[in-house]
Amino acid sequence: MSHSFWSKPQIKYGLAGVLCLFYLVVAFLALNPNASAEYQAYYIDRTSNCHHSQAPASIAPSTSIRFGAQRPHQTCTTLIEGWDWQQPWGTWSTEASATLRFQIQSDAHQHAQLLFHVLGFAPLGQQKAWVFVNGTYMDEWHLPHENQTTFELHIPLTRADEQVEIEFYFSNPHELAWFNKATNPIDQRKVAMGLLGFQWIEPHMANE
Amino acid sequence: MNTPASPQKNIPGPAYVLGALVVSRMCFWALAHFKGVSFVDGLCRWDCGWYVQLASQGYDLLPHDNPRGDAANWAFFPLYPMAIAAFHALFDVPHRLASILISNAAMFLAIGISLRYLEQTREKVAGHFWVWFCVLGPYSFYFSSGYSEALFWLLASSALLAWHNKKFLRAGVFTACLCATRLFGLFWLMGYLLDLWRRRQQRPLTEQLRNPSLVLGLALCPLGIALFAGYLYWHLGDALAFSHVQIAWDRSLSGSLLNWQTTLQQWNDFGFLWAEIPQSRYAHAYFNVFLLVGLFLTGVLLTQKRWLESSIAICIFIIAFLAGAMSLPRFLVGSLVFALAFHDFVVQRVPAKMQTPLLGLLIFFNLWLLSNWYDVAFFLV
Repeated sequence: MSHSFWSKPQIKYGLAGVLCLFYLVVAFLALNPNASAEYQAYYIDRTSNCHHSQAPASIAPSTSIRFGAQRPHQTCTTLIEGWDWQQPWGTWSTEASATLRFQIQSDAHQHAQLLFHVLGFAPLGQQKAWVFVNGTYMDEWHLPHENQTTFELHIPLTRADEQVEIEFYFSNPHELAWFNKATNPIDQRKVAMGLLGFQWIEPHMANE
Repeated sequence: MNTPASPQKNIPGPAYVLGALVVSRMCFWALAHFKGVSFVDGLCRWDCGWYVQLASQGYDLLPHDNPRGDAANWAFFPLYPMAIAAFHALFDVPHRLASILISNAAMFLAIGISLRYLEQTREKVAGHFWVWFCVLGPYSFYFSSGYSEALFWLLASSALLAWHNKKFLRAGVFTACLCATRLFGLFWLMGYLLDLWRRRQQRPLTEQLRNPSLVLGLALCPLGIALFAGYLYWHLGDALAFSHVQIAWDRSLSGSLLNWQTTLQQWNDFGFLWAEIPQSRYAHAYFNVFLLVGLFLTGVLLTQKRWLESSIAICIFIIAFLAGAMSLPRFLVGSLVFALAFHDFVVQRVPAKMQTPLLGLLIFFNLWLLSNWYDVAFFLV
């Protein structure tokens, strides 16, 4: 009885029709996703470099921000552009410029004195980083080759809890492959500076 | 419908296939032992971890992996991990071991069914060559690992056999399962449609579509991917999450084209393939070789006018190309039709006395690949 029912041509055509309707519904759903704004921007529209809504890292007086593999969320909220995937110690810049964004927690300060801990990559002897804060030129750093060093940056604050964007422009970003230091042939990173982190220091510390 | 086995169709039986499979896996085990690697852990590399995680925890709600933290298991189709989960639930076998057992069982069946398909569709069949090529040929460890390749071969050969025998409903069900295993399953539907179109000279399309089993069979084909997409919409709100999450592996059209540009420019660079550090082993030239192999094997199917298989091969080759150089060997090996093309080439162009030495070379190449697989070499990612 059931065999004859399922073998009826009308049933087969009917099932095929139902399946086609189901596919239309799925196609409609595929074209109209109902995901979060962050998901939509990162995975679908690809207009954002961040797949979550966590706030950028923020720094308070006498505290620090460190980078490294244990802090993957900073990869998109704080290390905005021009940085490599994070290593255990921090991250390398990989392009001719790199952008950093963070919030400064302040209600009483008129400026923040930040101390950056960086590594240089200057196999040919000279590597300079020109530093811009919120679009304004602030400083020029000379990065020593494969040595860790610190640089101070004086950041004027115009309002409480200000979001700051720092851009680094590098004089001589080098491909690791040029110096036989590439991990493999598809390693085309142009390295100039490694960033370990930075801290907010008090002025008296800066003068010492 | 089935033609009796002729002297030119030396088809080994199930016992022979099982014996070859066991011998090959003993070789894999011996190599793992020689390298001091745990057999199960050694086989379960790269995506195997994703399948095992998916089988044990289901689809992620949030991304959690890769250095950017943006990778999730949405990229992996559900049938294979469902089989792992079911096997684990039924026999209380650890997921990782279950994945390997399922792959090997699927490969055993896939070889048997593909032999029947070859028997029915080819004038000559190199049955013994085919069996050893499947169990020990290049990249055959994929069929022993926690990868969906073996299940895909099983379903792909079953679907082709059913379609060839005009068992359209069965072909539809197998293709629906194929589409729930990997995206490439959709190309079987395209192949069927092209096959129908090609046959319109003998029988007009309208007349062919008067067969309700054919219509229902065709309608069934995309069901696997449609159910998966519907589930992803319910789970995440994005039916195409399996595609969108590819950004976590830096897969994009522009990125792939750039990747191929570099690969083709450095066409003779084999240097890093033998790098001391396994994570550095990678060579542009290696992938260029597979590009040529893929083109050649597609050409073999086309020149034989095997329209169904060649249309599938063309679609897969294009998508594999667009996915970037590193994906190409895996996609070629995992899609069955290129292996069928290689079989045809061997049968037609390689003298019988040269087939065994050729097989020996291929097995040697595979053992070198497997050694790299155990080392977690970068070019096998």
